[in-house]
Amino acid sequence: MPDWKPEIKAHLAALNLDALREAEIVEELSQHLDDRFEEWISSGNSEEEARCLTLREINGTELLATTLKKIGGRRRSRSYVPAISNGSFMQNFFQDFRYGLRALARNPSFTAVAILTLALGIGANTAIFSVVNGVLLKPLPYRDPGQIVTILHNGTGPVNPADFLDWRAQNTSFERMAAAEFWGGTLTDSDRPEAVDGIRFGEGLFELLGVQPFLGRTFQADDYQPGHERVLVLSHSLWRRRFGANPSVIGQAVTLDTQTYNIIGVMPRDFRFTPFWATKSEMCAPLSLVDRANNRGGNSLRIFGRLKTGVTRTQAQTDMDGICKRLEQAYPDSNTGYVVRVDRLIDKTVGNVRLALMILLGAVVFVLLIACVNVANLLLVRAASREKEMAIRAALGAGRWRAVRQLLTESLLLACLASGVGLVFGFLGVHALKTFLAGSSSGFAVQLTRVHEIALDGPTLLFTLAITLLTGVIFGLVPAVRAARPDLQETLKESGRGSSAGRRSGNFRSVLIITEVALALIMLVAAGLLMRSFVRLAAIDPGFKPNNVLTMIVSLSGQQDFVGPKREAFYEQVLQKIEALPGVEAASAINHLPLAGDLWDRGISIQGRPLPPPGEGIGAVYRVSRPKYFSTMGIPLLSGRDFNNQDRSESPGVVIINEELAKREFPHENPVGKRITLDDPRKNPTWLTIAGVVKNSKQASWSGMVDNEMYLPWLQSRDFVDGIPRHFAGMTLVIRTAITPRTIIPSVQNVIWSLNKNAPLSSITTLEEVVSNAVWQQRFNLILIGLFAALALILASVGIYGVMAFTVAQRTQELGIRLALGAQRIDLIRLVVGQGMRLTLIGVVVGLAGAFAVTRLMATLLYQVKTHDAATFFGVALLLAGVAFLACWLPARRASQVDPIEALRCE
Amino acid sequence: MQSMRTAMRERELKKGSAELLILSLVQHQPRHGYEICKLIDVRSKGELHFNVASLYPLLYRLEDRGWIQGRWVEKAGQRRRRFYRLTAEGRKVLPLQQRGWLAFVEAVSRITGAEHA
Repeated sequence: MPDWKPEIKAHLAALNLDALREAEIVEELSQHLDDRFEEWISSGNSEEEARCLTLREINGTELLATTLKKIGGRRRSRSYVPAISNGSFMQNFFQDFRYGLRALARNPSFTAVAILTLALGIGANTAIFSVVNGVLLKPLPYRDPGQIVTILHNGTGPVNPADFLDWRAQNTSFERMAAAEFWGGTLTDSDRPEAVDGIRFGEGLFELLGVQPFLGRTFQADDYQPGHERVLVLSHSLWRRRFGANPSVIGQAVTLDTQTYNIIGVMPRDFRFTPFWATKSEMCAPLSLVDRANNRGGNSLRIFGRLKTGVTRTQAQTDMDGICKRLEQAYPDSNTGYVVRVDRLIDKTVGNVRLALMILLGAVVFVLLIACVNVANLLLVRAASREKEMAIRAALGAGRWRAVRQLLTESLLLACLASGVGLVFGFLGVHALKTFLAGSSSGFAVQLTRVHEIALDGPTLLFTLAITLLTGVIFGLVPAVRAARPDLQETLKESGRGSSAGRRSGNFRSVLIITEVALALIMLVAAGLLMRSFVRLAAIDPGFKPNNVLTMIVSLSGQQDFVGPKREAFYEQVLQKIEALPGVEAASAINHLPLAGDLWDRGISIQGRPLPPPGEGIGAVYRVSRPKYFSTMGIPLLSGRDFNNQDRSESPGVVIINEELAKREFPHENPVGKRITLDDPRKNPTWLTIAGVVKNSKQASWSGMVDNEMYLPWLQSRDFVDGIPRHFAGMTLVIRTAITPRTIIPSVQNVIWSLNKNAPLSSITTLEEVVSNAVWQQRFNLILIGLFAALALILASVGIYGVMAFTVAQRTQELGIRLALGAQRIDLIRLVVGQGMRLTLIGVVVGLAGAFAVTRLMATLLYQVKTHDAATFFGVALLLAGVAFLACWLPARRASQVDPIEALRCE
Repeated sequence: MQSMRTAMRERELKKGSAELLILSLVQHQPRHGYEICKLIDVRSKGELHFNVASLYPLLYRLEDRGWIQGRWVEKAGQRRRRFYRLTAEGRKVLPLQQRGWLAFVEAVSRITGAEHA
């Protein structure tokens, strides 16, 4: 067969086509001429005649060159050879970009899998980062918030007015120090009375925070004077909800707890105070301490300070320690052992969730890394089939850096597409997280603080962009460098199967599998520990039966006509009528519901015992309940009796104590019949006889230890029968039902409002929700880490499967030879599975070591589970090995079904 | 003189119809250049004939417009060949070309027919 190529090239020479394009045209045309030549031969011509006739196809006319010329110019730009530099940087970039797009479009299944994998990782990162950013990183909405600190008893407890005034007078560290006190009342101006939480702002607090009102003004010096007219500043949300966002609300009078207040200001939309306590406050009024200036007993103030410029938190702490020492000497009775802690406001606000959020962020980074590893592996597989292409480019003079750039552009393009999809996942994720974090509508538990700050905003999008670029480089770089440096000789020498990919990328793929297994294992161990911890938490006995109990707070605050006998009759009738409702088994009331309500602590003295030294008295949680509270809640009475309607103010005082108090103070005797007092035993106290002992029930926290506790009958608690302030005038109803508790809410509301139409109902929830709110953070950690660990496991097993399937496909021929030489099919399975499992086991060992290091950080997130819990480590390793085995076995089985003849023919 | 006129006529005819011919031939299955060439020869009973110099520039032009797409296909025991198939865009263009051509032929035959009637 004659060689037509020189002839064709001669015709194309004038066109100055690029090398690859010209080579293609020459190949195509010479084939055509071959066919034509054979045709002439078969119709009886001699070789020479046939050659001449064939050449007439291209000779004798310049048509070919002239016509091609017209499109040649245009073709030049399209027939760009990737990885050959022929223009400016930007030109090259756009060429690479376009070529990359086409390369991805050519292989839609690869592109879809890669994009989906990365998008899961990027979406998870975007969602979790938006939480981290909103909760931890965004500055608090006050002027120079880093200088603001809280000064609290033991870092958490409230402070009394006299101590605060001394601190303010004596300190040298603070530019300003101000107090805040929880407060609230019932707004009764419209048809629907509403209980609203508020905070009383001490003098200088607004100035300390450095915020300006949205409308009107904040408090001035004379607003704090006793006898001055009552003024009110509204939050933006209350202003919108209750006053229809009406700007003329300034100067308007409202009725709060039957007293008239003048609205003087509305705060900006993003203003919230405080961020860590009383977070549902929606209004503020001035706090005057004039008549409490010498009170060292009533701890109700939260103290805030703004550090002077140049003063550190530690210096302020030292200053405060000195002041506390002096006060202890001056007032040993009240101040012995009294310790205060100065904390940054941001730490106080997010300190308890910081670790959990950082661990979550770590978890999603792991997921993203695993996704990157998977995609890197996909790219390697693809690169193996593109090795020849790369070799030809290199042979044509493409620089290595240029080729790397081309491949990296493709990776970045992939990452960008994935980040688009990832943002959609992220958006859905943020929405779901916010819904979850905002918690049920109960309003009881303060869930994650600053949830309102979580958003897919600028910083989050920047973060997404950054991780997108980073992932593009991470998963693209190694495959790019490898693919761009093909061993020319080897590649061109090898058969088309590209088995040269074997050793070099094989090693790299092994590293990928090991990495993937190790990362997944760390995630699974973390999830496993949290799960075991949660199982332990779920097994805790709260001391009461949370199922089928409806609870709500009913408040008579500010209703001066509903005191004494009238209030007594009100509760009596409310509970009777509720018990008469169909589906209700029992009803009672308590001042503070366990786990959800406030916790008051009172000192007690036992009759006949010597007075303890200052600072070493007995304290107990103080609760006030109506009869039948224990049976309604399902709290077992261990000895003695419950309260009844004969325990009235005129009859002898009684008290019921919990098991803990009985054990600690009456270890070897029966406490029933013994007497205690809440008063100073030296000053003609009122003695209360212990009427019964009940089983411990949870107090403030689900997993915390139970402290001493006592219950007093409501009828004998004058503050509760006659008190006007909200903390005395409100009770939490507990209603045990035989049916779904929430279904009786409307009839309970009707009962209450038929007896008092101004009684607001709030915090309507079930006891089960209260319990579930009490462990929201553990559940949150478990759900998210568990979710991400499951994702990691799936991605890792898909990754292992992918690598093994590819390896098997590459080794088909070798496996065929083995079979032909007499290997059994089971041997092949053992061979392939063995190879995969060897890598898996290395990954497991690396992962266990990593998990050992990483889980140490989780200690505070775990409950009664050691960070190095052997069962979890072992179980997870076994699970991962099992999944990996399956991922290896499937390709191995396929390998064993190779037809040796077919396999050999592939060559 | 006669042969030159024939050549001219052939070229004009080809110019108007060549694109349509190629698009029609690759409409249902991908074909390589030589196959297209032979099919035109056979189906026109030798009336129309393409050679390398006339066919391939046309193929490249159609490919350049995005109406057809060429792809190297390897078959066991054979050299690889470049097969052309109709693209989505080509699929849209083809009926327009067909209608245009029919309209042209009809117009021509109406005029020439009227002269003879």
